[in-house]
Amino acid sequence: MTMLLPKFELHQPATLDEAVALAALHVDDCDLLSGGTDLLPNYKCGLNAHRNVISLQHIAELKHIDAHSIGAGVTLVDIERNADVPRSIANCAAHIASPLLRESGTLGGNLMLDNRCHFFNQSYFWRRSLGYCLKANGDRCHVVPQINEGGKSVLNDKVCVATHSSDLAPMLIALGAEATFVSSAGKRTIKLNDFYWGDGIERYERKPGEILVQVTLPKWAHEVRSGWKKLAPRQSIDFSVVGVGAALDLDGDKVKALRVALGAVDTTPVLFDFSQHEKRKAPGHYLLVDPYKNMPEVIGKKLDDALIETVAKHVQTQAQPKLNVPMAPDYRRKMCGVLTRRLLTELRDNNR
Amino acid sequence: MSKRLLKFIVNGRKAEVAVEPHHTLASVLRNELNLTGTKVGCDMGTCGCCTVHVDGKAKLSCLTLALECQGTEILTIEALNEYEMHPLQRAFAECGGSQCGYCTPGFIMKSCELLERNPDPTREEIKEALAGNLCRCTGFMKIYDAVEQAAGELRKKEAPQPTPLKV
Repeated sequence: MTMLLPKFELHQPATLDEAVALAALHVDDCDLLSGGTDLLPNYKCGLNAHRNVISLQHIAELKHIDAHSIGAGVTLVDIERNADVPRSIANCAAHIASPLLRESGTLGGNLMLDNRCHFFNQSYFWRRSLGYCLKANGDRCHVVPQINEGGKSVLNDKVCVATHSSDLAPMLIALGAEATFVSSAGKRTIKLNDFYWGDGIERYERKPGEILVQVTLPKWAHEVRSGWKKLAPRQSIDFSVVGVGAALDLDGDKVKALRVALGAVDTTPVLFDFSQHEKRKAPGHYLLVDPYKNMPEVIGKKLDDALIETVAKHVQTQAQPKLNVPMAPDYRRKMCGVLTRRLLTELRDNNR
Repeated sequence: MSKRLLKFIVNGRKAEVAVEPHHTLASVLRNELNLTGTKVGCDMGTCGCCTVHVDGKAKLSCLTLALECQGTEILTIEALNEYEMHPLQRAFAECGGSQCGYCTPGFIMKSCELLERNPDPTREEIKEALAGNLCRCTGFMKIYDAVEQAAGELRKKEAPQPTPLKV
């Protein structure tokens, strides 16, 4: 089955400055292409295609990788095989999609992944027959058709609940990574956790014309125990339907810091920072997850099985998967707790 | 959105094709260069049928824009047998790793890359490397057998270098 790409103009800048200039020039009607493993399938389905595509593949500035910073253009295979980055990040990269897709896919592309939904990632023909959805051409959500507004049930034409399926985003958020962007207005560094915000359409705060340059890891990320677990229908190829990344700092057997980040249960990755240093902005809508509601006290306590169970229970209670990616939401919600428990037990028992 | 000239090396021969920006590498190889050995399965990056080597890396040609391959070296399944079948191809035929044959070019190109990187892969490593290719006939076991057999054969003798295809 051959699916045709819509027509577009391809720009191939060789330096970051050129790319920034091009992004500023075509700010209203352009997409950034890095590996193309997410953008091109969406284009083939006619999903929000733009007339200009700026390729970032030939920009050497984006391909730098060392222990503390990873360029946006570094392929997932290179992250997987890199010996300097924390093991949890390499392990997480090694479980994204399939070996062939990892060969093309990049860190930047994975972080900027478009959200996924049963009613969105379909062919043009499929979507036309049902009526388009909020995220592409339409005016209503098919996943959550009705919302509660002022005590009344009204048609949902506001909140898109498409799932954010990136694997590296929750892992990097758990480790407290920062992202650096450039645009014609200058450089900007922002905590990854603050970057993701909003519903399935908005999903992050990228200012017009901004290009992700690199992700920086704090020194802390190398000192703590961290890990990644993911649930997907198949072990390879599929997008995750639950992803759990955690960073755990232990002082003897007492918890000094604990950050758990969930992927693929909400429109953005969800960080549960149990020390509450880094709060996420209020989710903006009751359909989206609020991780800090009834958060249990964890810091300074002994990390025994009961405490792990408390943390897992809290994560499971707050997660709100929707019926828009494979596997039932109920099952995925339970797995959030199960994977968190397994991961934390593993981190506690194995030193790193 | 005009056509641009794409210059690259396909199977050891220089090629110049005028392509549109939205053409994928798979469509250029198949439609412009008539190298129809590369198959297009899902066209969405899931099945791995369209695997070719771009500068020695196994990539999905359905998700690679043709113009992004400017100046690169491409190897397709046609590069593997000029005079005789490549050990991988022979092993796939002998072990029954190819039934309907549609996914076979992708499997062979990916396992070819694996064997170049790792001449003596374990069963697990083969499974891991071929995790992005789908076969709906064989059930995969015969394919893993075939890659193991070909790896043994290639280790015994100097591997034949992929030679240019004469059209």
